[in-house]
Amino acid sequence: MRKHLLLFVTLCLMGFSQPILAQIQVSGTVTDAADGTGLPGVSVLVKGTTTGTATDANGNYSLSADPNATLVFSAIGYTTQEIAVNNQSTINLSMGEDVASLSEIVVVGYGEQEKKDVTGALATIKAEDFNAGAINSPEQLFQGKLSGVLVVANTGEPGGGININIRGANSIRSDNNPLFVVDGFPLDGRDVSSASINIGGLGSGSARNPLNFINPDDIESIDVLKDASATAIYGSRGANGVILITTKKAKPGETSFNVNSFVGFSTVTNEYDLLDRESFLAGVATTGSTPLDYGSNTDWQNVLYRTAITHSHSISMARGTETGAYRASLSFFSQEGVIETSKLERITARLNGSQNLISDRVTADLQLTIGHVKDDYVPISNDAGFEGSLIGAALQANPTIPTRNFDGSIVQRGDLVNGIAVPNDFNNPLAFLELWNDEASTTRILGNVGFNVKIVKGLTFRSTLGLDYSFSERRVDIDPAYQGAQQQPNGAAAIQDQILSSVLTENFFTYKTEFGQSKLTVLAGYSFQEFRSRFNLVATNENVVPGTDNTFLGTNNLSFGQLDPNIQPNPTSGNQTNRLQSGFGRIQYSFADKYLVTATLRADGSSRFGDNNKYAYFPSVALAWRMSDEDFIPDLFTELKLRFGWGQTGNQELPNGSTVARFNVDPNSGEASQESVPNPDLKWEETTQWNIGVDFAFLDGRISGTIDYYDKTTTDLALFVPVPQPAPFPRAFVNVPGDLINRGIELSANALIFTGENDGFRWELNGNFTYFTENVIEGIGTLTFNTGAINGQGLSGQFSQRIEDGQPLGAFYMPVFEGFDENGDAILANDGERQFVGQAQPDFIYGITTQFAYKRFDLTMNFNGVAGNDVYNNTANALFSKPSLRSNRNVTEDVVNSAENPNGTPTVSTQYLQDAGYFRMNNLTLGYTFNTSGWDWINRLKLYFTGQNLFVITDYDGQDPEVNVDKNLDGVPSFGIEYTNFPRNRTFIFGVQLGF
Amino acid sequence: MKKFHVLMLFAAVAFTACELNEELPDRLLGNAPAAIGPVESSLEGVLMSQGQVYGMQELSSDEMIGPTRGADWDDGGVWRQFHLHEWDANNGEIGNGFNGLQTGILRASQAVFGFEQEGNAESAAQARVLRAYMLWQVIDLFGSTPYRVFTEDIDVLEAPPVLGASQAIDTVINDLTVAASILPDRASAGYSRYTKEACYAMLAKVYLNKFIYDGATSAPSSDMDQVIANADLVINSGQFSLESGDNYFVNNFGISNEGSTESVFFLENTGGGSDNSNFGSRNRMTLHYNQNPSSWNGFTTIADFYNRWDTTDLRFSAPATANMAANSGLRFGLLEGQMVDKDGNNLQDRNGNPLAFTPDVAILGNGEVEGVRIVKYEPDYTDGNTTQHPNNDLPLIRYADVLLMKAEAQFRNGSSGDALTIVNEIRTNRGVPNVAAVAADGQEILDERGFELYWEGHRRTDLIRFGKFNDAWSEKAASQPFRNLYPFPQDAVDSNPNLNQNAGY
Repeated sequence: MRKHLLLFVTLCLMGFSQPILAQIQVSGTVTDAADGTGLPGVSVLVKGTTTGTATDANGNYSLSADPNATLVFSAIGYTTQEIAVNNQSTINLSMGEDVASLSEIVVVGYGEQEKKDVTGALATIKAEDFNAGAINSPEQLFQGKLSGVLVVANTGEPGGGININIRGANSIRSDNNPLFVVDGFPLDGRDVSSASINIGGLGSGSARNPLNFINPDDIESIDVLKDASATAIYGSRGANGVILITTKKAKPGETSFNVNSFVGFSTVTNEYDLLDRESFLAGVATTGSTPLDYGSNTDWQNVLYRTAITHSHSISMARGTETGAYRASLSFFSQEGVIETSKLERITARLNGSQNLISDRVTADLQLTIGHVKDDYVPISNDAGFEGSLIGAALQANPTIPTRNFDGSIVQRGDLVNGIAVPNDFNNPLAFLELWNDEASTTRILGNVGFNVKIVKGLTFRSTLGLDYSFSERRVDIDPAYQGAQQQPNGAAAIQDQILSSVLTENFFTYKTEFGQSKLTVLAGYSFQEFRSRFNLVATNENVVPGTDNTFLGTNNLSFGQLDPNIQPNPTSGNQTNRLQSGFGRIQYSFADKYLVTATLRADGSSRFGDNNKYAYFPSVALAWRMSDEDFIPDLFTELKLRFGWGQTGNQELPNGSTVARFNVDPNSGEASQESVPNPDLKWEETTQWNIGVDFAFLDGRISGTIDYYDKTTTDLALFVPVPQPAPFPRAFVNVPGDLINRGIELSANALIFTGENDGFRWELNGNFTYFTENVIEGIGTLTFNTGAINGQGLSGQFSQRIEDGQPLGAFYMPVFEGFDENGDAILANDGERQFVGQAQPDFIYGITTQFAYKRFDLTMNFNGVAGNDVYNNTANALFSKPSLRSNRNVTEDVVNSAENPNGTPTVSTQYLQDAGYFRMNNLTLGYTFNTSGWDWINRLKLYFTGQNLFVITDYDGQDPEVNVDKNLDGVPSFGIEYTNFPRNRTFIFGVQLGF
Repeated sequence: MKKFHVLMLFAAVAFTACELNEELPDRLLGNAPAAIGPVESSLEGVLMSQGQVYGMQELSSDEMIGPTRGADWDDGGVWRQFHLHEWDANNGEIGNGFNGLQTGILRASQAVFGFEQEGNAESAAQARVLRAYMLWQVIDLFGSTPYRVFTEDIDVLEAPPVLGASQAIDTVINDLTVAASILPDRASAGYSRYTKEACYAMLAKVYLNKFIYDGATSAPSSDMDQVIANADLVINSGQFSLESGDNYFVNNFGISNEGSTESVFFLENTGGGSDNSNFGSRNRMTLHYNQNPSSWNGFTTIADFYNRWDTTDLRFSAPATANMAANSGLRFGLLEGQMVDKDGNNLQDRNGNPLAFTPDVAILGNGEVEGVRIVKYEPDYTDGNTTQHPNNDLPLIRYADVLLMKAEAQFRNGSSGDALTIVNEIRTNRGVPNVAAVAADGQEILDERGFELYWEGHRRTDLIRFGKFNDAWSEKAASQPFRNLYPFPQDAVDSNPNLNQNAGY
């Protein structure tokens, strides 16, 4: 890295000078054409320079400029205007709304473009269109708002994992999440916090979302690159699409101080209809078993759930001058989960700055985010056995058992209540909540410094150096007082630290030129990114202080415990580094602003690829024709553009060390034992995509939209296949010939029905629809992989999904349930042979947003939905059955009346598979903006109310149809399975936005 | 412009290529030193689990059953299939057992190769012993095997050829013969797994069963002579003897069974932290939740086996050790009737009914108490009731087995009288009356093997050798002869075009 640092130092030290010309002072007021009020934050630039300012809160500006200069007035959402100074000292201006947003700047990889010049398929969403509410990560900002982008919050846990598929899933085994790029820095996609520490035998959990450290208030816009012609510039990380996050920066001349605060209240949306005391006792009796009556009537769900409070406060200040711009922000966000004790707290500080070092010649910019997230977990695992983790324990707990004994202690196994011993398999949810402590604190720093140098006219050089560093510590305590299935003698405690870092340096040249009617932009660059991960884990048990009354210091002082691998994991640690080195280039050519061509090429070398395939090449080409500029297209069309793109991208998300023979410790002997089968031919998965699309706008842009059709084929599928035995390890990563095909049609449309220009009533309607016409695996021969593990009593080793030739990804594979026979045993079609019975991936996703504004009121409603998918309810399969009731465990009301045999065996079947299409009212926001023009101490005051997840319409019987618990089997991902997960909530928010 | 040149120079430096080799400081890459531990781990994995190889050898026999209890232990029929002889190539326990053995065989070959290159003949011989044992198990269970000769540039992504039973058994015999010539004898090595006598005992085992692998209907006398000769090498070493009947359990299967005079070949458990095996499953798979160790209430024996016993047999029941008495109400042997805790109080099941085990057990739909449970291995309470890693060593071939193998070889060679002598020698030691004669079908030998070796992983092999494996017994109908071999796991067949699935599957 030293050589890259030297480069920066040199750039910093370079000096240039430039002559100063005679200037005059120009000032004026910019107003909104709609209502005549002053427009704050409008950028006023002297054309051809970076000299500029921005209007103040009342729309006033002032700057010095050459008397013959031209001023460019621009603001997001308004038509950019150019006005010649012509020696005028006052220039007032009224700006109209730019409904077609053609001049909108969109961010593409390694640069920006005007929207009209874009050749690829991409979607942009600006801050004002983001989802509102209690939002803890960037993905939630655009859920349901962009075509082709499926965002699934896996569970209702605050800060829980989110799955994003852009245009369907491209990979059978590897990660299907897109690449996130924040202000040009491609983030490390790995989980920054550790998923779980399995000291109590509770099973494995999922890590929280690694993007939680970003304050959504700091985001200016999000650009989603969808087709390969747009993503190929990101090569081996582009196959799943790329999401570019651009943060807020100060505009020239801006001086602002903003405060946003809200408080919110959340409740669980949907509880299971469990039996109360009387119906439970009667129900158990019908199964031929003796009811165990402990004398109480406890609603165990009530024990878990609460009205959770979220509050958020963020402060930002920004100042832009003619030579530099700074924006700093600090935010505090605290979100309680609807389950007692669960919580997420975040503090994020952010600084964006840019400075012209030598007038126009060199610009330095800096982005720095420091986020600190504290997670309080509750003991919920993805694969708990029959005793259940927290939710499972609560759902099946005998409702006649009281929460506490007369002496105030928590009722636990073996306690004598009402003269009967509480059974050994009883796990009091209260004991889980009070006696397990599981928390993580994660600090993530993202910093990036860049220099832009104008070398000669049209030629600029940009060099950046960035760091993405995270330190996460998870601490888990099990108090010795806990008695239950996961009991630890004298308690247990464990600490796991995880440190990830990625260092990036990028250097690239951009050359722009125009000749005749041609415009040409050429980009060429080099990138090097090094990813390092380290972790360590230490766990002890018997942590009580001798001679005290079981004083338990837990993770606060592990030295009172003992290292006992008999119960705990051994101390362990890891240290791995992988590297990615790339060269990339792009040519953009346009003729007469009508005929556009873009071609890109990226070469990626990855340490994860085998010795025989170190470098991968990813080309793309795109053509676009702006037909609206042709004479034969009626003027009705303000925009009509035909786009065609083709490109290849890759997926390099293979585990480190998959290509070489790797040896790890054999736990029995302490000797080195081989844990991988080397494959020096291993390489990236390659996705070839073509796309054809039309962008249109007519009626002065009041109606606009985009239609795209895409066709993607992923080949060289990197799968973990069985190695012919005998082998040192049963499986190896091999590129299997075969295709994973995705095709689909996307439509997004926007209609400004009432502009509000005359009567102040404005109505804008926006919709997006995606039809995934095809998702199928072809040509993998006889290879099959089972996944979708099902857990529960008598369900060990069971699964629900299979990857097989000719099937979609996430295909459910199980016997068809046809009812119960006279004994109450399940009747399964075809003698219980498994068959393909449904799919977890939807065929159709859509979102609708409607925005009304009248005078100072605004009302936004957002709905979204999916159709054509199924969800498997493992919760019901494991817990809600007659045999379970017979064993004195609680069940839902419908079980009592079912014909099921109380002595039967549990089966994975379509009995528990349901259509999980849904239509959700995702968001409603009602706001009022005060007229502050007469108030000199405040510029902006807005009060608003937001409701999130107001209702959902679905046939699915479980907690919520949007669910995706990680039920992978041997690392093959599953989709669409519910299992005793953190439930989803409904939230009401009251907020205020202040600007000074 | 000078600065511009400086800039270009740095740009050029910045664009130079960096190294992209795999670099994982937390792993050994490329080659590791030859090691015996991972080979032992492979074998421990398949034998100490309640399923895998142990389950394949026991659950399919007439002395063990994996019934369902309400919803519990259904697990998609994976356990039930064994008793019913209805398994198929997708049974996960068969898959894991096969893969575990094969991984162990390759690791052993790697170790033999590595140790021989280092000139470490004794360690190489130890690896040969383990390879022979695992290869024998594969042939016993599957009838043939894919096999790789280990070389430095071995490519395990390539499908290997398949060895037929007789070729594989030749390899086993060769490994054992070579190892026996190098390893020390028990007299000099003491209580050790890797001795000449262990090789001889294993050779006896292989020769005794060879006719089955060769597809013959009866054992050739030359093989039986080999059994007798190898058994005699063990017997005449003077290092082994039957433990006295009173100590049958505690000395052979106790937590401190190191030094057992019957253990000829065994796996070592060190207990506690430095041991990662899951041998605790031997007790947990059968005992009830409310017993100590708190267990999984799973496998039992069947009434046929329980009813066959002379209840005075010292192998049927024995009192608790002090260690057991201090922690639980358990005793050794077959457990029927009311169970008690360490204070003698009657235990209840989870529904508050008496925890009283009954001999009769159905394959499906039992409650919590059906089926007689067995404590053959002393529970280790060192870490309270939670340990999965007890200290008991796991005997694989005991002296009593060697004696019975010799008796059986004599019987198969027509010397029933000699066989009877040995059988009664053992019976006398174990506190039961002599049997009068060995019948023509050798039933007394098979029965004696059952009483002596139950739940030690021998029963399926013995039943096949006596032609009884396909018979009907409790909760099992007569099965087809093709069930004498297991199917290769589907993955193994799919990944190796040279490997044909066994007939019938």
